[in-house]
Amino acid sequence: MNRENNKKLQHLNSRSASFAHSEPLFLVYGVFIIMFIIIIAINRSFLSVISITNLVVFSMPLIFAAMAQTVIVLTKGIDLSVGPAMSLTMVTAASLMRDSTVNILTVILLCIAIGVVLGLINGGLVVEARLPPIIVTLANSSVLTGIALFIMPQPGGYIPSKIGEIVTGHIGFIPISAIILIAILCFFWSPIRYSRTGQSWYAVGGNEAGAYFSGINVKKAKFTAFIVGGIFSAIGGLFLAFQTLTGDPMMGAPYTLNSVAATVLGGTSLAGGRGGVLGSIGGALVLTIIIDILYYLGVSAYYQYIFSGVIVILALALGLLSDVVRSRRTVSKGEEI
Amino acid sequence: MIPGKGSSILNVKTKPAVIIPQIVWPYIAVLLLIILGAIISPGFVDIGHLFLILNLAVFLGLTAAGQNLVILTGGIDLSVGAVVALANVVSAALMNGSNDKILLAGAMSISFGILIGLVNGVGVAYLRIHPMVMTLGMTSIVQGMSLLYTNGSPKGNSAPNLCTIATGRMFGLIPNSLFIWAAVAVIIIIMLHKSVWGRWLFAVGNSEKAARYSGVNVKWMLISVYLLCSVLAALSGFLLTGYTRTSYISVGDSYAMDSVTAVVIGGTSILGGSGSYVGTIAGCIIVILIQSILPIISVPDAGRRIISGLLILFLLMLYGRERKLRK
Repeated sequence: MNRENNKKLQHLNSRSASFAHSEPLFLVYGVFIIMFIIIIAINRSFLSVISITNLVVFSMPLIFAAMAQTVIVLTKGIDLSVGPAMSLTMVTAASLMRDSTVNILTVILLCIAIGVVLGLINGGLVVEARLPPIIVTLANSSVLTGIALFIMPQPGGYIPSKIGEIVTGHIGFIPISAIILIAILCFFWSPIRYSRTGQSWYAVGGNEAGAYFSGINVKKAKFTAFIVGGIFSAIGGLFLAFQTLTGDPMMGAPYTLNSVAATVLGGTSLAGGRGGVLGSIGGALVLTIIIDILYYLGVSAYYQYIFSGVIVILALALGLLSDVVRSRRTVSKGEEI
Repeated sequence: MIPGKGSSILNVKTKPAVIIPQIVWPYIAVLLLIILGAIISPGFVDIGHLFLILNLAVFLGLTAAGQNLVILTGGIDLSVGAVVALANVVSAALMNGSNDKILLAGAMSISFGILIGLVNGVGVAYLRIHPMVMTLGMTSIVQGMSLLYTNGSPKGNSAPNLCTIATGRMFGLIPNSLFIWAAVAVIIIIMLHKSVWGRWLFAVGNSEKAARYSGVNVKWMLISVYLLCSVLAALSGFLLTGYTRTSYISVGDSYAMDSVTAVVIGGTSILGGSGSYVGTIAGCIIVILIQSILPIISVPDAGRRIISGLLILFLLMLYGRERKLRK
């Protein structure tokens, strides 16, 4: 009986989830395409394999930060330790990596294991100690920054340039980092997202008490969300290290709040239960390309702060406006029937 | 904070043991930290030193007052740090060491606060943008404003009279700025617990829908709260100029997170609707105490961050837990 209910709920959830995130996806990628056209209009030479590869490569850390944030936001949580977690994996990688391939792979695995542990800690404090996620991850961000500074007080360390070249390179006209992203989406993300656990994230985020009473394991849902989030943060930190070929204990910090911005731009609701990582990837791309556009326009760095703030607020206001219009439309339709 | 939304009605189990009011816990934590400080270094409990800590807590206390109001409505204001920095930079540049211009600088800081608060409030109330994202975008804008205003290198310094207000001591002991904090605290506490506005604030925090149906103008409540928050942050930044004497772009960086921490450690629920500024005052003192005990034992920066994070988690474990889902 219970099992049957679960299945029904799962089915309902999958439908509502796919409906819910189809429109914001369209919106965020629409914005991205418009911005892409603008940037080509400003600077023709942007339409080259190298600059597009660069755009993708430089978006990678934010894309993974945003994916980490999204998974946790889906369960109605929030993770303010995404940035420091990235710094921590970055400095770990930079201080342990050597030239041999075996070593590189071991360190990558170790960093991902660190991500799992961080997810377990955050998840444990939120689920078992019943502390609010925002404040747990805020306190943890202080702890993680401390550990990163302890490992590497000053920026430095060593990342073999061969791995950097691989990650920032391209095969034909496809950036290798894009291939890595797609591989992670297909072989790691999708199986989890469409498993029972992945569905339960949406249920828990939408209505925690309701999910609990319909027999969903709320604790497991939150735990797994934090663990998957931790893994994505760790991958983001690795990309940061491969890009810069160094470690920097403070470099991850700005990614925390930017990941929230990218997540929300991508149509994931901070109220939980609605959205998905594909939107967040778009959000991260938009946030990265804004900076590029402002750079090509020759806007002073000070205005860049103002513009990126205004654009985030405007984009959200527009997104919400379309929400209002849509809900009016459905209401009037309902009345007709 | 164990009682969440409407839990007390169902839990009629009487507990025979002595019930310690929630509000006492943060003050017990303050006492414990002072004792810890005394164990580490006997000079820590010197009355002059304790007042110095209170003096430092004033700036956080003013910022946290606004943050507390916002959190009580169920929102969060991440832009307070940027507002503190903007007020600091603007007032230092305007005063440039002259006593005549204190009022002008104060008025300018407060007007910036009003402007930023209004935009935040309208964004949250009318455009229905999530407070965290709205104030996050605002942070970026306000930081840009500070950078533009100073062209990257802040100029000017505080007027001597403002320094006296911010750091001077009455009878050579009690910091003058403590009186400002006390006045603001009394006003905030009266507003929260004795006024209609305060009742409405808690109503909005508990359930916006229910508040709206009972005739509370939720939109105006939200705007007034975000307005007050930015104004208090601006006031804090203005006073801070008297303390730092010059201005820094990065002076406000820690205020956003510290104020949230102080409010939550003080026993206000991050979900809104329950809490009090009385606890937040203790929360501010706790945050400042942690920050001033650690340098004494000469812990490096890395260790300081780790310990302060762990201490905050520990304090939350003591009294900041949510109720079980089953209840």
